[in-house]
Amino acid sequence: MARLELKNVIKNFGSVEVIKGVDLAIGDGEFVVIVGPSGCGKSTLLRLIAGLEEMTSGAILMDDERVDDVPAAKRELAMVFQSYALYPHMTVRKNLSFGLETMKVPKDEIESLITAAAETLQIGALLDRKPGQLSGGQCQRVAIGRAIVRNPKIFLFDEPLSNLDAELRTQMRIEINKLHQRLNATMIFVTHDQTEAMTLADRIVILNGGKVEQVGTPLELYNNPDNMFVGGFIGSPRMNFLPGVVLPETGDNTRIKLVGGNEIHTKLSSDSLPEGAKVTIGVRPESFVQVDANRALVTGEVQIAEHLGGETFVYVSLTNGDTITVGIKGQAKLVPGDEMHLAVAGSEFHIFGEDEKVIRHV
Amino acid sequence: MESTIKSPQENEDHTWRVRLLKIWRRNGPGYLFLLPWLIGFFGLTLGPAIASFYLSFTNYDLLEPARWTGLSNYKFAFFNDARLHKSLSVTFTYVMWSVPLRLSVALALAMVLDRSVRGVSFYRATFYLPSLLGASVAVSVLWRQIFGSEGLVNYLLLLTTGITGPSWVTHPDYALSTLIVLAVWQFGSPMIIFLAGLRQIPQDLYEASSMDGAGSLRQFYRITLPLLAPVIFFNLVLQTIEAFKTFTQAFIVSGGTGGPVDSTMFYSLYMYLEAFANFRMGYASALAWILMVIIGIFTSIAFLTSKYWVYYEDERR
Repeated sequence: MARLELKNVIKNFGSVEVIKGVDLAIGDGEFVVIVGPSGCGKSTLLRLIAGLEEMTSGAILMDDERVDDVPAAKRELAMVFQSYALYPHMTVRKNLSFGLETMKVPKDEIESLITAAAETLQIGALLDRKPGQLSGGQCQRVAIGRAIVRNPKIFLFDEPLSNLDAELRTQMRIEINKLHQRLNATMIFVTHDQTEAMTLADRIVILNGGKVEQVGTPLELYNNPDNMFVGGFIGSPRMNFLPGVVLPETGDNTRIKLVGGNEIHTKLSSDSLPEGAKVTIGVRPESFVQVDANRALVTGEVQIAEHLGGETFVYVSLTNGDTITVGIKGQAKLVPGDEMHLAVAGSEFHIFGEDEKVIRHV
Repeated sequence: MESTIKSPQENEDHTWRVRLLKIWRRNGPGYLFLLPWLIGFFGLTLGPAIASFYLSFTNYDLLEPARWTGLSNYKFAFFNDARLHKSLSVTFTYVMWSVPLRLSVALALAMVLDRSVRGVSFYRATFYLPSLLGASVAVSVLWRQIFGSEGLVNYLLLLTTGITGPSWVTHPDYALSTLIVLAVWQFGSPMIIFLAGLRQIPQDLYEASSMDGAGSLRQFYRITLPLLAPVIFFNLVLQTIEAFKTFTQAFIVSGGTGGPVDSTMFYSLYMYLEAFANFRMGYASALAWILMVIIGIFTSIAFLTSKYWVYYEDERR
């Protein structure tokens, strides 16, 4: 177990800046998920931590000691690769013992460590097989086993579940979660799947274009996104964005007129907004409520209704041509063509300025 | 009904003709295109091979018709021909040294060239050149000059250490070693094959092993070598066969004599001398077949042992 700190980490590939100054502190035993769209630099960041890539500038500290110049082989980390990267010519047992043999661990100790890991991951029956004879899920377990046996300072996971089918992915997600609870080890997990991030993380790091957009617990990010990117990235189906214009204030109230809709009233936490400023209102699908026509914030026509049983997602096309997603608990009796009058429940909406940063309101 | 008039025999002949015609219509053009190769294979490879098998049981000097002598050529080769035994010893020594050395050098260079160094494709082409030239007459002549008593090697030796070196190619103790060095210099084609093999090894296995704490030496023994084994095996078989057949270098460097004192009397050279200097075609044919059997044995050994040291990606054991 260890603490990890990144200080202004920059990585360039040629003239392309991939990681643009990342600062991050990860606590002992914390499960941190780095999430972002493809090409945002999340895997590169993980590889920098692993020592598989060299930083252009900045510092990486492990338990307050700089490890920038320490080669990957000496950092005492373990990594689970997207491709599993199991040694194809070795049996599962050899795959597990390879790192321990390198560390010159006594033979009987290796044997007991392998037995323990095999039991944890239920791969005891596979020990004498080669990776070619295993299924994707089994390969994944072996890859995790290879990391566990070495008792590393930090576990690194590079999109380990992306090659598995949906069911297996959910199952492995739960198992990784359990594993973290049992080992209480520091884990850094990279994924592009926000569901994985939400379900696994103690804290999520949202990376976009090589920069950290926001760091926080899953619910912090969900409830209080710092900007439109985070708001849109976290949550599925994604947050709806409705353009609006600020109207003259009435008393303390800020009034925002939605394009193709009515006014929304709120009280800003800090400074007021100038009249005529363009803003974007972010509303999560489940924050919409159906209301009478005279109280509606927006009105539109149902295009598609997705009935998932426990909930219904309705795609509504607004008068200005935009489409929004509305989440309704239970089985809504809606068919394409139905008219929907929608308002926002309480103050469950977010205001984003022209710079896409959030403007907090009460 | 016409067919009812014909006898069953006639009827069968007719359908056979129709069937053959159909087959010809379908496959004929294909065989026409294959014709040059078919002529080459049957006329220049299989034909002479069969002829040589027959001749190996005869006495034949090109001038008089071949005379059947049974196994006498083989008996002589096995029990009486001291010069043949010497040539076998020379050839075996050459194979045992040149093949591992050439493969080691080829692998080492392939690993160097596998890195993304600037201008690597230029180096790759440059390093491949010796293989194109190595077995040629011109390079053998050059080699003879370089390793001669007043050649470049001795000049450098004198310059650096003050020692006057022998004539490497005409000294019985050094002549074979000189040819082995020439063979090692022809590492190009196994190198290119190794290079292709190295490219096939997934990079993430090296990354995984370095996360497992393995240094580059351990990575080489535990990852590179085992995963390259099929390629090493392929190169080993190919190079062994080539080495057994070595002729040009020995012929040129020794001036076609296999000298000094038969120290470069390679099997192929001896076979050539028997055939075209002594005109013992029958005996030379027997030698050719013996060489084939020897190569066959070595190749079989390689194949039989391969299951213990060659790992194939698609095997499911």
